[in-house]
Amino acid sequence: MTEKRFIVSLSPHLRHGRTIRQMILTTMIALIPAVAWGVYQFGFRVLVVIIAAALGAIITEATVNRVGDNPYTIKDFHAALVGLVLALLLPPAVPLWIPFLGGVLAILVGKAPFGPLGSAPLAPALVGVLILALSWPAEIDHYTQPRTAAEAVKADDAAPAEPPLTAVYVDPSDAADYCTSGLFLGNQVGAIGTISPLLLLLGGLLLLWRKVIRWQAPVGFLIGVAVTAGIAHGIAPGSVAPATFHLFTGATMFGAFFLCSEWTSTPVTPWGMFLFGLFAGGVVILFRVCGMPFGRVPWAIVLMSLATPLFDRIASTPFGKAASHA
Amino acid sequence: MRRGIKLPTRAPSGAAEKMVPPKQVVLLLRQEVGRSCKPVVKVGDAVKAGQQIADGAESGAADLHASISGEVKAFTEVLLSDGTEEKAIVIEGDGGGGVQPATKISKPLSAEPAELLERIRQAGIICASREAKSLCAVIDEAMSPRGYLNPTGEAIAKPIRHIAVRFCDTDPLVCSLRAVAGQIGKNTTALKLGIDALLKITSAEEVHFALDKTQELAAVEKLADENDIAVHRFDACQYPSFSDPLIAAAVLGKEPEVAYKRIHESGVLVLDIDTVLETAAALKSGTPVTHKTIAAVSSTGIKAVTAPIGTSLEAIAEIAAQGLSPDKVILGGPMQGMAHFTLDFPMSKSTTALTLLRREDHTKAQNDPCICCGLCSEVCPTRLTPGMLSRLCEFKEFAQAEEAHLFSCIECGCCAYVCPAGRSMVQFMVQGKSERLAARRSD
Ligand code: SF4
Ligand code: SF4
Repeated sequence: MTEKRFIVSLSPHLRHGRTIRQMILTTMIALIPAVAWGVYQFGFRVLVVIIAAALGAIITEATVNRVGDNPYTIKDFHAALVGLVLALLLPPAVPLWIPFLGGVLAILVGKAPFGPLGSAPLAPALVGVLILALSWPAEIDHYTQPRTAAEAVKADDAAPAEPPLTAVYVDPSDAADYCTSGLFLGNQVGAIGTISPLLLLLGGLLLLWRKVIRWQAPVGFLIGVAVTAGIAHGIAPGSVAPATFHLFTGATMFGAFFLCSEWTSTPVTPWGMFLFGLFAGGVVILFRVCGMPFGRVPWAIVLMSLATPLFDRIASTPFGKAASHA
Repeated sequence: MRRGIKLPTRAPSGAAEKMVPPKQVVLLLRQEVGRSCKPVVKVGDAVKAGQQIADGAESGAADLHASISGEVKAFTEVLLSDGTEEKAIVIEGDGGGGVQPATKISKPLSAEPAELLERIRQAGIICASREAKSLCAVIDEAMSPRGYLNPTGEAIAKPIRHIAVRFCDTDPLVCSLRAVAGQIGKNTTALKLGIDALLKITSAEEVHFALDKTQELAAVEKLADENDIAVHRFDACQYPSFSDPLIAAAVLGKEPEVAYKRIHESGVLVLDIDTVLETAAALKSGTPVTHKTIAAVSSTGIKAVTAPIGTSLEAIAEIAAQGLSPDKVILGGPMQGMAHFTLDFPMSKSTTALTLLRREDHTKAQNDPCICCGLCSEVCPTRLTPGMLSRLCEFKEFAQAEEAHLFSCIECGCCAYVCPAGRSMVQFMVQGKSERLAARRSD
């Protein structure tokens, strides 16, 4: 028979067409405002930090592919995204070998041992950040004053640049010195990509709109942070900063939209995602109040990620099941 | 939470187009699942449209009738998509309009239910839903006092309490039922007769209509109003709102069990509008099913076409898409239809649509690993965790998948539609189910 034969496959025959690569690129686009703000505040050096981290991740991934004789996976830009996220969590003035090494470790320890994209139990970028934080705490601690510091943050020129959270940890009453709108707009000392809650929120909304992430985890996370901080502040106003302070400082916003919703390391069921965020948010405040110098949001989320399989068990009742048990 | 996926429905452009009778039709002796008829004509016989050419009394299959007038040319074998061959009767048309005269039946409803059912069988009515059973078999299965074996092994016979009539296709891009519903016009006597007959046969208590929220069928609504028929409005774009389980849920006010069960076990029999109208025609005048309104779907548009059963798909494809060279041909709609390897195949009574996709219209499954993005659990209408189920099936943990409610999956394909990793989700689900059933049978 010579007539034309057609492709045969099971239904459905139409697909939305969204691809993993597109979703990763969208995430990068969503981070552009935050990166731009970082460049504006801390100068062009932060771009070099980002590139160093991305290069570290990409080179490592390519090497791992090569050694393992697997197809090259850097085309999906995941390694680049890992590097980007990692760099954005670092202070602006870190020595350049730190982000590069971070990128290498993120892939080498956080991603490659587990297999292709979708297998890593923890977010690779966070693994990288936390290894750096544990191993080279002194090298990491290189904050600089943002360009807008003179106007909004503490008008104390001589003071070394100190992220608001560190200042408040040392002396809780300092929280009153920070102007909330200034923090929200991004006038604060902090890691490269995390200082502007406003721009991160915009990026997050883009991700939600493009369906790259689900809303449950970010919302749960923000509620977790706000409620825990609110309660703690209510009980001990002298030693805990108010909820708004915690929402707009550190990596709270960044964590909500770019870490809590990382696909593989977080749950997939609706309630699982929400509770994941909620608990992670609570743990963040615990860490901030009871002390930990760096990486409170990454630690909280990594800790929760370990419980992701448990959260995934909080599945909805399937269709028709409730009726039959009633 | 609203689940499912938003798909564009494109309303059919105009009423159903009547196809010029083709030169030749090929009528498969097996039009329904599992049962076939015996030919009652010989090569060389002259037949009129509507004349019985094969009889299913022995196996309980619906009878088969000539769909055009002409001459029985040959008996042939047609290769089906599952690789088996099926006998078929070839009729060459004489171009004339010879029609078997209808026998007017006065007081059609005075007969006993069993006799009504027999007349339905003789009229050859097939429910063109996914299972493609004859109406007779569907009702029989639902009502049979013997019960039948369902996959869990228990015999069940539950009464049908509600009949739900679907006026809109499950597959949002298919418009055949919409077209049929649109042709009802002002005269609803046939619809009423069909419903009354089905009520009498099944002794159901209530009738429900499932309409799209944009469908304007004043006469139908009036009929519903006068006869205490509940009208449910769904959004056809929100696939799979017109699937049996979701219609049954609206009818019952609670979700019916879908795992290991057929929907009618919940007491709801969901029937398509064309089936009801065919029933009415069969009972009123003994008119058998010879034509079918199907949707011709392609990137150039959607058309409803009324064609004689047995028309070659090629002829329909010509109407559907002039000059388009598809690389995928689907019997049914793009969401639930069956891909077929050739256009050299006759349309049967269970064909609801012919969908032609070009290379650029569809994305191939690529089965990358699941990245746990959660898109699929967000859209799954049965609230499963499809990503995890697909992984369990991928790694052959079928028993675990079953525990995770694999059998509650209705194979709608929403998860596959959204999956950015391009996983062939439904294939995993279907494979998992069949492995579990096979394992159980061998126990
Ligand atoms: S798991 Fe089954 S029911 Fe759920 S979306 Fe996928 S195919 Fe549909
Ligand atoms: S949509 Fe695809 S990649 Fe995402 S969780 Fe579901 S199966 Fe996995």
